[in-house]
Amino acid sequence: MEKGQMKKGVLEFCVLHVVSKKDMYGYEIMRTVTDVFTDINESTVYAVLRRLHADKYTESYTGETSAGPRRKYYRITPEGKAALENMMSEWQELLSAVEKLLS
Amino acid sequence: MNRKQYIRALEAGLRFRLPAEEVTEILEEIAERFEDGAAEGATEDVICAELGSPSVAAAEFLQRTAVPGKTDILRRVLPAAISLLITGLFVYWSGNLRYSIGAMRPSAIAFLLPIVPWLILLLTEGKKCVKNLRIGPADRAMALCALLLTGAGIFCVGLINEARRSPDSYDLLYMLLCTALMVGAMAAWAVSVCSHGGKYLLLLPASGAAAAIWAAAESFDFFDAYAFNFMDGDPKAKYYGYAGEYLGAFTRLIFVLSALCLICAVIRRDAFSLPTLSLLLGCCGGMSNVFFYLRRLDPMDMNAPACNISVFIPGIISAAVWLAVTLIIRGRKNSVE
Repeated sequence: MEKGQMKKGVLEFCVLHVVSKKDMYGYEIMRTVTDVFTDINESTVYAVLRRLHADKYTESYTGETSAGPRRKYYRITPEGKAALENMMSEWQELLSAVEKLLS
Repeated sequence: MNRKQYIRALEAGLRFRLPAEEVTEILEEIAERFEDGAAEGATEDVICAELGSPSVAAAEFLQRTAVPGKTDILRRVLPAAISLLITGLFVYWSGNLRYSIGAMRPSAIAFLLPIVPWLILLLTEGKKCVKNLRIGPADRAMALCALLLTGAGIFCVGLINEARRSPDSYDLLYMLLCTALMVGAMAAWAVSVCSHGGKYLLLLPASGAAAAIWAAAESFDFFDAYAFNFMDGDPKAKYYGYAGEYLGAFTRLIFVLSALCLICAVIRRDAFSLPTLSLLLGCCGGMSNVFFYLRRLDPMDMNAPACNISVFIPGIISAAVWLAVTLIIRGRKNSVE
């Protein structure tokens, strides 16, 4: 398997989860994710964010940042919350299945 | 690499592969990334490194923003097949205005037929076309130039050929109507091309130029018309006839070659696509006319069955070749994946 392939698979889930916690703008979301996944390209996170937006799991609006400039903020939609729940249960199933196999 | 270079490289990787509006949004987001990074004290080259190479970034955006789901082959093939037919008919009839102008023949109604399949095409893909039609001012200008070029070419063809048939009087209004109908058909084709992410937009002026080449090919009939109408008994008349015939055939070959080049350019990106099929039949329309000349058929004899059937033979062969190429390319893609 190509290196990083597994991480790419869960990236959408992680980004959506981050957005579900509070409204954030793109740079904030990217920083939060790449602080944990240090070897992921930032452009990958931006691409995931756009995909989630295109799938209507997130919506955007323009708001002020603490530093001053206006930025595009993302927040999760009801469809996004439903998708996140599905992803969460899928993740739990996968986790327990893998743990069972490895034990 | 600095910010300007990075954004330019990223744009080059995305342009014509995604709708223009989407490309603009992505670039704005990346520009904001640079601003936010600079506010934290990071240099532009560090930010570029963190973003990853522009080509990789472009690939990520393309991969993740592509429309998911299975390809509905039948839904895509039917409009493509219709556009294939219409483009071939367009090429064929743009050169054959002379056969119907000035006479109330039933074949005159054939000029209305091209519109019907295009209406079907717009009905089947129209919603998506209108929704996805996002082109910038520069693209609109290019598209308009191509349409004007094509329209002028078609009109000139009709004018010159009509001069051959009825030098003393011809129906300008009717010719304008035919031109408008065919340009309308081209515009409908352009809408369907532009709606596919705009990635084939460059084909539009190229196709317009190819159509103009075709019009030039037909215009060489002027030599023949001139000899027929004004050089009765002149021994040099036959040379005018030869000039018209062979220059016309040669220019048609140029049209075929230009269409083939366009097809190759498109096949490299996506073999199974609407514009590919349209161009393919544009090419076969040219081939059919070359075939027509090689057989030395009497252009005035509309009852000659081969005169009308010949346009479809190369079309069938070309479609078979296209299908084989598409299946081979898709087979290779699947095996790589």
